[in-house]
Amino acid sequence: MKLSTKTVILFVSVLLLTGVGIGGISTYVHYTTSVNMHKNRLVELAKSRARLIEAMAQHDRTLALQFGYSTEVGKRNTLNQIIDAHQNFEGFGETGEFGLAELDGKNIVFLLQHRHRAKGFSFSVLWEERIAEPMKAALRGLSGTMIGRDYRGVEVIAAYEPVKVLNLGLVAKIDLDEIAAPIIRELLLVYSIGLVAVVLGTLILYRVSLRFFARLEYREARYESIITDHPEMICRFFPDARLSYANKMYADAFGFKAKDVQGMSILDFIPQNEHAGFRQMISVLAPDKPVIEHENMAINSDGDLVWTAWKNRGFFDEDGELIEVQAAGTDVTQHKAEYMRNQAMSQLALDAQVLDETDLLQSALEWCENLSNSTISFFHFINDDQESIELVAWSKHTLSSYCHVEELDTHYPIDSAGIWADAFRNKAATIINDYPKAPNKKGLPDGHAHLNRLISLPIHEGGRVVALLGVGNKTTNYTAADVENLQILADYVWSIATRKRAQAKMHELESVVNRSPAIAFVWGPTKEWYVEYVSENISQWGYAPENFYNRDLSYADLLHEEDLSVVQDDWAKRRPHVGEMSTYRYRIIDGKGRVRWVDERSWPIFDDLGNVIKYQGVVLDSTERHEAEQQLWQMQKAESLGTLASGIAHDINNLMLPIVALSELTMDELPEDHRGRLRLEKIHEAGTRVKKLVEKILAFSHKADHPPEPYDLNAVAEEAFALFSATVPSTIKFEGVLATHPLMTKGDPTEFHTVLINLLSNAVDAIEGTGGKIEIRLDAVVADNNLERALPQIIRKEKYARISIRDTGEGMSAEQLERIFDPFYTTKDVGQGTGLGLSLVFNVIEKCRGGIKVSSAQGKGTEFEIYLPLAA
Amino acid sequence: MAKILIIDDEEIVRFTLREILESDGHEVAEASDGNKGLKTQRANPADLVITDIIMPEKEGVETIIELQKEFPQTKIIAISGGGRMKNMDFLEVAKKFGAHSVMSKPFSAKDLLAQVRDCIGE
Repeated sequence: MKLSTKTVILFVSVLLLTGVGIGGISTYVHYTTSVNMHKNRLVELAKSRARLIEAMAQHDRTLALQFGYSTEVGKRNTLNQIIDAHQNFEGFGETGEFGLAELDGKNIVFLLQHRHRAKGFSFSVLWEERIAEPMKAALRGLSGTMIGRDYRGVEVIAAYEPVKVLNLGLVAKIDLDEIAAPIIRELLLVYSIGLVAVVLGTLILYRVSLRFFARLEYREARYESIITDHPEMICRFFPDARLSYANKMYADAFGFKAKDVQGMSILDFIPQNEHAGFRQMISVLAPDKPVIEHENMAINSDGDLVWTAWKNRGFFDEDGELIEVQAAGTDVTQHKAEYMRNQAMSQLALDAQVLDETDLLQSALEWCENLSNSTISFFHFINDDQESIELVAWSKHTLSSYCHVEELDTHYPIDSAGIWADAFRNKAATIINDYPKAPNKKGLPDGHAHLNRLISLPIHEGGRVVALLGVGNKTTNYTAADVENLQILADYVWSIATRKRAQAKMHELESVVNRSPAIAFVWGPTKEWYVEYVSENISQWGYAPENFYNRDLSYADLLHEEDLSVVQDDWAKRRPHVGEMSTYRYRIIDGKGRVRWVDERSWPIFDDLGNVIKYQGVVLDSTERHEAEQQLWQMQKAESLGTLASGIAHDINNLMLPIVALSELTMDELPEDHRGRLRLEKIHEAGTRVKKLVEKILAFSHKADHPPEPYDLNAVAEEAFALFSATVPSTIKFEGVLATHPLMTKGDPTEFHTVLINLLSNAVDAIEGTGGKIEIRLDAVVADNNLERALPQIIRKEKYARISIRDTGEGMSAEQLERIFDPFYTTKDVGQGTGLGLSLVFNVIEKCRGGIKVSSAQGKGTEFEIYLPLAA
Repeated sequence: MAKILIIDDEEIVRFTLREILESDGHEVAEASDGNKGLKTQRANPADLVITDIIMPEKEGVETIIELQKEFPQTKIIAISGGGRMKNMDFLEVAKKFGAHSVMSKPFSAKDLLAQVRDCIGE
């Protein structure tokens, strides 16, 4: 209620009217009571005075009779006494007086002194006059009371009584005014006080209550605004579902104005199939269970189906009958959707572990349908060309109920795809709520489902749309909330599918890595290179990944002691260089204690601050390659020397021609005893020796080759043994074992002879002085894998002659072993060897497409193994 | 006595051969490569041509082939200090293409004169 002036006036008026009313009634009661009281008093007065006068008259009459004077005299006496008695009688009260009159003809003669008349006796009034009404009644012999006019014509209350003995009338009266005036004064006083009180009270009330009312008003406004602006929908309704109140939120949600709530039913906003449930809920409300929480679907102002959650509170009358229900609730569609979406995500994460990608997508589509109340859904990939769509998956439901597209994995050109592919073109979600009427529909694949509503969503990856997710045929319109939910789910599904694909790829890569000879590593960034990851093919080195993971071993433990510090120093130097790939070749010790050559290729990985956090790399066992490279290098060295030698030889030969020929020519022209002859002879001799040396050098060059011819290695060896046995010192024990069968090969037998002699001579040099044993053995072998890998020219499964020459000499160091086939490399004293021997051996064997291996241990001796292909 | 043309890019070789051949009474002409040799031969044909194999401009084998075409009667001796190319024996090739004899440098004066005599049929 508002405290307006009008309200105040109304309030005051009501107060006044009530006051006036009450004053009036009480005055009236007071007045009538007072009148009656006076009447009674006057009757008493009149009767007693009349009886007194009658008594006096009777007495005087008796006296008159007694004393014999006339009764008239007696009457006069009585009257005189009475008149006298009233001479100084002022009357009673303010206006009260007695009147005593007799009828004299047509005049009423008043006998007594009256307070309202000047001094003097009797006066009379005419009977006809409409005054002295009480006296007229008394004179008529009546007794009673009345309100009437007295002799003055003034309204009086009067008691009238006849004085029968004297035929007089007696009236006791007072002015009506005497009774009314004080009452009216009282009334006026009361009214005045009342008015003042009302005015003061109103003023005070107004002052005091103004703040109270203002606060009340403020509170009311506040509660009203709270309810109006409350984000929850609030309404009240009767048990028959008629709405009695709705706040703005409620009214907005369901599309009406809050003030128009009357006559609406809450059931107007609940789908038909939920009405029964709603009524059931209301019926459960009871005084001992006044609050019920309840969820139901509702149809909002847009005609969309939404989930709503309510707290319903019942209000009951004294008999416990439900009279009204208050409901406060919210639209929980999004919560529901989020809840369902979270459920979907959890389930899909589990599904991803057991399902393949197609089934995972199927499962995802079912969730999408549930989430959006759709009955059709699809998942299509955009091909890398960004021009066609791979129709990957429709939900099972879609396929069973709607779609009959035969070929799922065809390339569907985007150009001819309908608006369902707009999500790709616009890179944004497309909502179509009236598909049949949508423009630019273009086509659907043959056998495609009938569509009336559709959401098509793009899934982005690296700035490109990589897939489309679609749902369709919801019974009500799709909303932005549907899009949001689906987009989140779609992105999630894509991410797990991508992760799954990445994992599969990872497994695939792992299996590839594990089958490759290269071992993949992730190392920690410390000098020990502890191993964070190593591929399982570390088994080829005789180790298991666990050896590293449990820190039994660090990678540094594997390195050959001679290489460790070199690699570590180099690594420390390269460390600061950002992102650089490093390659190393070093030796490791495998699980069986064998030395292996490996090639490492590694690179650092940095954190955001640029610190190296780890190294990644691959390490390849290159032992065989290393050996083969050594061989190849040997071959190349020998070959280049050959080329060099033949080049030099040509020039030397040219230059030697004048020396040899002219010295001879001139010598022949000189006389026999000329000293110059001898000198020229020496020049000629020197020239001839140079020629021979050049020929020897030319043995490297292929210039001096003879065409290969078949010969028996056994036979050549036998010859060599014979020659060698004759020259070998007695301190050396020589044992030559020939093969049991001829070893036919193709080549130059003299070269092979030279090879044997060269190697045997070296063996002699190795053990000369200390004595020892030289053993040479020939046999036939079939080349196996190991041999093929060790020697570049050897072919597996081919037959080879093996010639093994072993001595028990001092052996060679690794460095010596590496260089023994180098031309001009010699360990012999100056002048003792040319350093060409083993180079020549190497050259010859290589030319025959054979191979030579050498193994040596210092202090134990050396073994050469020669393999030469056997002729078929 | 015969007219002999020496083709060799090395002056010292040409001098040596001239010394040997003139000492035996032959008439000697010289050229430093195949082209010049052919020119000299056309101007004044020799009975015998001694040619090197490895020479600038026109090498020996080609020179031999052309000499054979233009002067089928002329005898040829190919001489070489040894091939620069691996696996190719130039002197053998020269022989196949029509050189009457081949000699590898260095050789003795006697050997050369013996071959010359053999060629000119003395």
